[in-house]
Amino acid sequence: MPAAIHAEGLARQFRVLRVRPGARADAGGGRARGYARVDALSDVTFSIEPGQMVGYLGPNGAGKSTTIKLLTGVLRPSAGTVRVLELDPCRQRQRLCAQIGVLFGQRSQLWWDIPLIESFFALRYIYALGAEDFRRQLGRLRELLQLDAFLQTPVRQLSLGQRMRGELAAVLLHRPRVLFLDEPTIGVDAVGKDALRRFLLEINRLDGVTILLTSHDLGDIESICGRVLLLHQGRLIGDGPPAEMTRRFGVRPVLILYFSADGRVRTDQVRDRLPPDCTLEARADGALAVTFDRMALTPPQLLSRLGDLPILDFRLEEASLAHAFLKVYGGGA
Amino acid sequence: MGDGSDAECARPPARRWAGLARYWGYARRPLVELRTRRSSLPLGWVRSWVYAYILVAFWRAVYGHTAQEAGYTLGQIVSYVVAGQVLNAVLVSTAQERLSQGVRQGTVILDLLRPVALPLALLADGAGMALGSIFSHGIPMLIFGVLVLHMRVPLAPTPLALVVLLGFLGFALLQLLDGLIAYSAFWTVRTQGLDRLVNWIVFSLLGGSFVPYAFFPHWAQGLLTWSPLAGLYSDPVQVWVGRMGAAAGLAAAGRDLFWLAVLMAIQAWVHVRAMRRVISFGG
Repeated sequence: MPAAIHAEGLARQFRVLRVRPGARADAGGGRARGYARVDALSDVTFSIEPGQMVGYLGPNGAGKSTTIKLLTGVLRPSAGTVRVLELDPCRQRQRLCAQIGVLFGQRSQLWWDIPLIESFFALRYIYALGAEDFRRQLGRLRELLQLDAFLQTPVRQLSLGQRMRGELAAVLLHRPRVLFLDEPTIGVDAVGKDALRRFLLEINRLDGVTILLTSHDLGDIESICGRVLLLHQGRLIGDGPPAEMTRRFGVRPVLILYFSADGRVRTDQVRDRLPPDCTLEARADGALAVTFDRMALTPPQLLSRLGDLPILDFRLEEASLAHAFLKVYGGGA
Repeated sequence: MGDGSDAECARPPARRWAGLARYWGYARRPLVELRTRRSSLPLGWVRSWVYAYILVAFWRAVYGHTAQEAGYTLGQIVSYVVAGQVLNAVLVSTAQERLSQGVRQGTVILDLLRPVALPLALLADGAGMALGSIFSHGIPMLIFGVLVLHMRVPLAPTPLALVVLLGFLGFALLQLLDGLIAYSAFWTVRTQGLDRLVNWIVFSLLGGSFVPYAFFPHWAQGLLTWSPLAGLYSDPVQVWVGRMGAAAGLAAAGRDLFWLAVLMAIQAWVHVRAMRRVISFGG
């Protein structure tokens, strides 16, 4: 089966206006304005199989949204090739758009001044949906996303969470085969996020929708994506399951140990019982944090090594994508 | 008038026509919007009635005790300017507003993410707006014009049909002219200054909305009569007030069709180049 999305050597450059502030520029001391070339994306290659749910990760300005715009035919690549559902997004934009759904969390595609249901009716014509097909899909989305309470409300009067549910319904009305979600949970509360995540898992399971998801909430990606693509300064620096990414970037789980107050355990007593590649750190609350390699040592094995010490309680902090993200983007890859 | 994509060009004509039903999704939006904010309509009526009344008062002051100016009687000029205001309801376009805002704010990409051709989507949006505007503004202005300002209305079938035909062609011309201005946003980003200049001076004044061409210098009359601008207000309104006969009206319709073909070709060319300039930063 051909890939749902295939990008090969994808690159995009932008010409960005630079205006120098200040009196010197006003007085003609050098050019006050000029253009700079920015490489938003460089030599990005990846393939996504039908039905996969892939997280696309990177800090602000890494090129995530640019990639989505290139994959959907809105922007033309400066170099490289793209195929989505075996179509060339730029040359076959209209055909492709009938088969994909795109949601930009920060841009509403709903008509602002009319009730939500009217936006759905408009989309019914735009996507040439049959009356029965539209009725059935809308009924399903109303139930899954709990839209009934605000279907008749103008979009400008919806809360952010309600609007996002409406946006999601709007991109799914025509049953897209590929869904591009750019920060779909931005500004949504924890309950709303959880509902959206469960909904995405549901449509992936039932309809086999391929999903490419970008989000600054790494919980979104960890909870639903079996694979992540890591982007840094326009270049792809990692591709694999979230757990593999955390391992690859040297992020390890941490076991936090709480000892009884009268136990008087010294740090060196713990260190003596640990393998050399474990690190030990005393925390402000009196606990000791042991960072270990899960491939070499499981948490029960680690605890059994410390079994003779007066451990009162313990807590395991798994290596998460958030830790990997901080390590890669916060401390340099 | 698509985006020049292979797939669209390769589509058989029957499917192309079937695809046009998609644009009803755009055309119905202004109608629904109108229904949603119908309570604010009376304020719009009063505003346009006052404006029409001021225009008529201006022309009455110009005429004074003169029976005829530039071949127009006072009755004809009153009918002319009020008919121009009725036509305002048809001559609406959303292209500048939609595209210039869309390009500046990056929301133009949302229209490009739908399985439609952008020029046709803009046209459908304008058509919906005009349809709504006929009922919300055109008919109230017509009633006010007849009852209060004593406007003459063509009731014979031939001039009535010609007014409808020329009004329709004027709407199509406006969409293309306005669309071309709107597309300049892809190069200039901000077109707001240009919008005002074009809307108020070029389309209204040079289109003959409230000053008939007969009042213009001879060289300007010759130039404007052959320009697409004459198709906006001047021709349909001249038929309305009985200053243009059937033969001249049909000739004007032929000239409008010529300009429509030219402007469509230019817009298709500009559209393809504009699509290469689409830039949208950020998510």
